[in-house]
Amino acid sequence: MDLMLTAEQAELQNTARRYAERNLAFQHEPGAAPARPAIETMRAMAELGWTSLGIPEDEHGAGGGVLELCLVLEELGRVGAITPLASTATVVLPMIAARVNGSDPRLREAADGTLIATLGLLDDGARDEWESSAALCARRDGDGWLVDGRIGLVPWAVSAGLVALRCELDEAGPALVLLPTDRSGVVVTAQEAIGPEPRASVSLAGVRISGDDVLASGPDGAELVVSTRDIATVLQTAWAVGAAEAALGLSVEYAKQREQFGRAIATYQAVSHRCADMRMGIDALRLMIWETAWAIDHGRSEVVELVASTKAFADDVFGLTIVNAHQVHGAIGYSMEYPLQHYTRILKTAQLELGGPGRQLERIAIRLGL
Amino acid sequence: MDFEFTPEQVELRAELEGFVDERLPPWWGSGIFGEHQDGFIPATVEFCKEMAERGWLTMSWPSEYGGLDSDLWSQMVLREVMWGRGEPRGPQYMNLNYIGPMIMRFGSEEQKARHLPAMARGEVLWTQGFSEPGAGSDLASLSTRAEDRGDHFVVNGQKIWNSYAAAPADWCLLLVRTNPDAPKHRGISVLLVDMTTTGVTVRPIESMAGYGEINEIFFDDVVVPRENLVGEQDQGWPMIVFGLSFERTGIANHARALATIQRLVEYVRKTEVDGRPLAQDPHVRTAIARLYCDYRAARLTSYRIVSMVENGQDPQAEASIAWVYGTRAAQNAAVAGMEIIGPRAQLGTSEHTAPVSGLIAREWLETIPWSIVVGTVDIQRSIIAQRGLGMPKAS
Repeated sequence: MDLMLTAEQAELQNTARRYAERNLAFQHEPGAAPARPAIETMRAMAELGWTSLGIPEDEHGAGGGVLELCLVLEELGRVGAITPLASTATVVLPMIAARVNGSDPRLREAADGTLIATLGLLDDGARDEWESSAALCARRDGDGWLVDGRIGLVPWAVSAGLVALRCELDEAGPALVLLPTDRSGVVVTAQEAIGPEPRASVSLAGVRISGDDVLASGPDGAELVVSTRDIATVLQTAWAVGAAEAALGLSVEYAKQREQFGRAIATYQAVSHRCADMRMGIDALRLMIWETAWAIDHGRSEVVELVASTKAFADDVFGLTIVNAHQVHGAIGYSMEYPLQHYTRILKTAQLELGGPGRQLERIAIRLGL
Repeated sequence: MDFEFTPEQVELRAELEGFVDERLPPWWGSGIFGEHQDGFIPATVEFCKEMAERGWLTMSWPSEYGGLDSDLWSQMVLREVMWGRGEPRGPQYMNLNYIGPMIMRFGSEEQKARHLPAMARGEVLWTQGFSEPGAGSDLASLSTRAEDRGDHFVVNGQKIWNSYAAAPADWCLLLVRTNPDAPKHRGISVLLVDMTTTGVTVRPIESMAGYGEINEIFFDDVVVPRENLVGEQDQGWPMIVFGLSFERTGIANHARALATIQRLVEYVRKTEVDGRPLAQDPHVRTAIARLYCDYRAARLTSYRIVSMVENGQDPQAEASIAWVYGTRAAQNAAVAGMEIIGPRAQLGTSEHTAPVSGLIAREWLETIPWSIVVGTVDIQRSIIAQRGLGMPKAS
């Protein structure tokens, strides 16, 4: 048992922090230069090796795993960086799990930062991404399938070249399918949402799926969908915990500077205890994320309850952080001229997506034998 | 980074669990305080002697003081097994956990030779004399006076909330003011007081959880030989900080929470309501699953402290965070458990129809003080704000 980062992990974290602060920080000042295109950011991150994390070294990757990705993503969240790194990893990691060859062009391009990929799990009609019965149904057509349907709130879909979807394939069962977004019949439409990361719907009208598009099917497919969703959940939570840390940092700094009734508001326990509560929650959540990522990387059997309890606990911590950070800031935090809103929007998105507490607590209950 | 115990530690856990389960008396229930006041202390003394025979009592101590030099994670395993079973070491967890280590760190050779072997054999009970009627969260304002009379001190004053003083305790680790003119943190000394000394009076305080585990101690012209002064005169405060840091981390509240969760899972699985297992009630499922989240937060924040210490770091805000999560996990489990059980959760352990043998009610009663002892959760929040976030003290 050792909860400290290894020297290598600490180095990765430091590099990520320095790079993110210098190059990826969210700019809130009016008139700030527009963010550079996502694909340019991906290429820069590829040079740092981040897009190859989770790809084994003997497959020309950077090694590491979900834990290392979490460390980088938290640093991105901490500066409010909006990048498709996590989204692309939610396609790369299942490709590795499905033993896709390292020379596969899709994998190579993702690793090189020339391909943005994404995962769409929110089928039309499904309440959330964990609903099991709502997968797209693809009907047999010759040696492939045809599929119709619509997936909502897909991260980065507008910029993505590849989207992973779960499908019920006629005769082959549940599957994780990788579709190029330029495939005939695929229409991507940007959606307005409250968070800063782009979301879009992906509509499929008679889209053809070939055997080569299927990452896994049948029992393997069902299992891959579950593990992919677990990974997506942990990665998003890791990014968001960085945003929570940023919201806390802004709150502490503001409380130290802001004077009312002749003294810094940080000297009021009503204010400082709100910050202490955020500190506690964020610390505990980060440890949960690390343990969960470690368990995924080591193929542990307790992954289900670890992912579920991390996500359920994150809901509490993010909710508390949104409320407390805004309360500490007062009116200024509500202004678009101040950066807090950017972080609390990220937190709200992370609360809503990939299964809220009701869904996650039920998964824990099953694992506890209830 | 590694989230796994070694095979040796896993084996130690199984061995300890087997040992404890075999020895606890059938009435033990959830421990820890003396509902069975007549049998409780003798049972813990007997238990500690058997632990001592196997070297487990002072497992955490260095070998030069009769310990096993065990690694910090094996100590965590021991704490988890003990606190998950109502801490059968009873009063002696205090000796082992921080009174002994304080004497090792700050005591004279003579004090070490006199007290440590007896603790290691499990033959001696200690109590602590910290809080006073006028000094709780503001412990440094304590006013129990020890006058320097050359070869001895004369102690006058009153202590309160003294765990197990009426057990009876043989010795007291006592905080006294030796210099009333110095700033409050610089006039405090630590004395080792023989509880049979003339002028020492113990008055038990009945608590919500039962009789005998908390007391008042009155000191009326009590003569304490100078050789019982620990470390330097007036330099007691750093020793207290050292001792309290051990106390905060030596109690595995997460293991206690887990024990309650397991009891609740068993209860809702076998209890039927309207012809269906209570375990199928969505509210019940959610409530118990939430307890698991609290348990994980408590366990991991507690493990972080061990990792930090192992890596030569000094946990401060981190220790407070772990303590708050530990108490929260244990308290929430009891509160949710009572709500799940319903009106019969109030039945006492002597009622044979009491669900879960009345143990959840016991747990509720016993965990109320956890957010108050060792610094209230609000004091912990202030520590976190100041030491963890660099926020200024309240002015």
